[in-house]
Amino acid sequence: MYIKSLKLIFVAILSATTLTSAFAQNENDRIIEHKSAMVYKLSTFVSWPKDTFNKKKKPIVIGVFGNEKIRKYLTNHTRDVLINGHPIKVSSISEKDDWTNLHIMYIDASASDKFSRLSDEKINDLPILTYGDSPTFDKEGGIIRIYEQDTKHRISINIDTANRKNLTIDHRLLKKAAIVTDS
Amino acid sequence: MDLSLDDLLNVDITSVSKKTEKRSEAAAAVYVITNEDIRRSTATTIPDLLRVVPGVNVAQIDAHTWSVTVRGLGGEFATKLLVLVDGRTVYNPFFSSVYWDSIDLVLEDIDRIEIIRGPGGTLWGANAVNGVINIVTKTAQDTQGGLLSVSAGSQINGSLSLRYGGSINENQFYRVYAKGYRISDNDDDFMGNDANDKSDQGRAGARYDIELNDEETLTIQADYFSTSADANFYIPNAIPLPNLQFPGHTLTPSSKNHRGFNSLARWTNQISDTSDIQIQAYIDTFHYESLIIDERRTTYDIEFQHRFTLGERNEIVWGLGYRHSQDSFDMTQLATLDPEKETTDLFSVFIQDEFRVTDNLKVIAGTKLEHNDYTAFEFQPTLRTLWSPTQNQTLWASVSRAVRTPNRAENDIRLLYQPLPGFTELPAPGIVLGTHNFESVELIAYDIGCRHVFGKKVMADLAAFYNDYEKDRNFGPVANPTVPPFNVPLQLNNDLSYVTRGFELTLDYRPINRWLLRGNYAFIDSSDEGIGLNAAEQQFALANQLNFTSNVYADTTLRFVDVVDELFIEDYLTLDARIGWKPTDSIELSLNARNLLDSEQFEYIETIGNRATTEIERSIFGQIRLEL
Repeated sequence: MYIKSLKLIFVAILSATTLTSAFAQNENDRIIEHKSAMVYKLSTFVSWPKDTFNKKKKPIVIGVFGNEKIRKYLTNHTRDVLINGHPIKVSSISEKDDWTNLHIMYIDASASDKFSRLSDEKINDLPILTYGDSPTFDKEGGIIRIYEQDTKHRISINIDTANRKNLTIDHRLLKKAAIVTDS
Repeated sequence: MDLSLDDLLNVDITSVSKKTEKRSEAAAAVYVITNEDIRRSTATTIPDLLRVVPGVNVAQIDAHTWSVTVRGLGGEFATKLLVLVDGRTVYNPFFSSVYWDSIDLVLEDIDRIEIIRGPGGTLWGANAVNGVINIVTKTAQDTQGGLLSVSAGSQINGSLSLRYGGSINENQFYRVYAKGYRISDNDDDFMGNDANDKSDQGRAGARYDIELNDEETLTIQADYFSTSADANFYIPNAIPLPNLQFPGHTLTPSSKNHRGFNSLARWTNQISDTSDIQIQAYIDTFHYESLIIDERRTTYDIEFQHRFTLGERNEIVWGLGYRHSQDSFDMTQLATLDPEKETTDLFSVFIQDEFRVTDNLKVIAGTKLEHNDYTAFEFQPTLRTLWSPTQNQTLWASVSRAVRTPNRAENDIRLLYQPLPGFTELPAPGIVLGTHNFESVELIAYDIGCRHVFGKKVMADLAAFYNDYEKDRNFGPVANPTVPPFNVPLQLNNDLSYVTRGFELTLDYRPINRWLLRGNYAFIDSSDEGIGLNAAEQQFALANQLNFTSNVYADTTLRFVDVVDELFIEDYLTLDARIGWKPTDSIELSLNARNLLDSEQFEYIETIGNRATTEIERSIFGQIRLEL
């Protein structure tokens, strides 16, 4: 009796599975998607200085430096979501662009050298929340580093850099991060 | 984009295939229960978490006692399985078994449980014969902040876990915890009497991690536990009397008390990218008091391990160990030990070389040499090979020798024993006698396995084994003038030889990111019809983890366990289900149901010690998890 029940349940589950829409993903796409989700989600735990947004509906601008896939994923998946009440606009940036109108930057590891070289000159202590995945990102001017540990993403936050830029990071996010300082 | 912060940080970013690649580095049958698996399980105890693992046989004997074994040969005092918690051995040398009621943790703080099916003697030592269960908790840094977890319902009258983690500075982290719970009685025992098996448990502990510098870390942790449980025993009468519930036994309600303390320190030095050293020491002391056993034991253990590369192709691990154990037994209604106090020492040295023949072929050879007080030197070699012909496939094979050294009971016990009706009949109650001639149980194990990823969404992991046992424990009648005339003397001996063989299969299917289906199947049988494995021949589990939305989860586990003829246990099908809801990142509410398909069932009959097995009942409980 039990084996028959087992067969019925097994068939039901398999049927449900075949009817479910599925999309193929390879390993890298999964990481891209996850990093993009983290850039969005973690930003909801950050507050900018009061005078950053002079209008309620002024968009939060995310600049993606050096990773077109992340730029594309963020563009496609942030159309209907808000960060702290603000709509999101995503653009691709290069070293030649003006960075001062950005609120968030994602810097790919491939572009981190350029970022380190240019950040002081181009943005200095402007309240721009920066994300990166290079190994020394949080020690060379970046705020939030995303890295892999075992099979998961982890984050480290340079609170000195965040404080210099007058960005307030919610304690709930700080609890989940490895805290890094400039000293 | 819909996932909460906690979920984002808990998602395995590497797909099934890469997880397989990590697992593929082990030339052994390895299964890992992750923190996510634990969080989404209806399990409230460590044995319950192990139920879905292929090749692991878990049967609940009463509300607070389990038989846990790997690849057959079950029992409350099942031998041949090594269990560690954060590197501390919890294997009890008295019966070569594990007191599962002493192994409990704040489940949310377990990072992973690694189950290795097959011998692990080379790295883990004697008694890692059929398998190793390695429970690893999270570091103090990974458990910062407060956690409150409360459960209540049928069977679980109440469970409360509290944990707080903090930091002294950027290099020093700590956590403290306390946990307590009460389990209510099941209804009936196997004779139809009241089960009388409720249990209260409490524990507390702390952990401290410090990064001394860029290379060195130090961990110090300590735990205290105390359990109190009721149980019925059917005590054999030394002299058969009339008008009892069944001939030769008396129903005896009793209680069990078990309390202990342990402390561990571990220092690690990452000398370079290719070399590291670890030194670990622990003390473990407990008092276990029941109708059958009254044991006090204190164990001191120190181990050294060094890993380094030699040339471009060799990675070598070697180490030394010393364990000192002092015990003391008081006479009980059923058992005495002679001598009542004993001290044993165990010395060990091991070495293992992993040689990379080519980029996708490696050979691992190693051995452990131990000296124990019962059988002197024991030698446990292993030879393994791992071949990855493609990026998606791994094949491995191994042959190993493992031993289960004699235990205190086998050497020194005098135990009153009368099998329950329906089992091996004796003309009169037996007296089981230990022997100083008891030798180590030997296993030669042949294992082979294959892991394959199909199309990025499906992973299959197959392992097969052939285990050849020599000198396993048995007992038989023998003349002995020290045994009273109306009792049958039964001498423990080593004359059991047999073969077990079988295979385990795991299939993972992730049709979409939010949905994981995992099927596990295991089969085992013995070459000898007369050998009872005391475990089901076939087991099957189908687990489902589905994220309905970013904060609503639905998880189910369907399990089938085959008949156990030698214990008169019928086959059964169980369904566990859990609905979880996270209204905010800090709160999770869940409704859990265990054994939805049957209100109660027997899973095991304990034949030694005559503990009254009880029917395990359906359990429905709610849980609140709050992160502060």
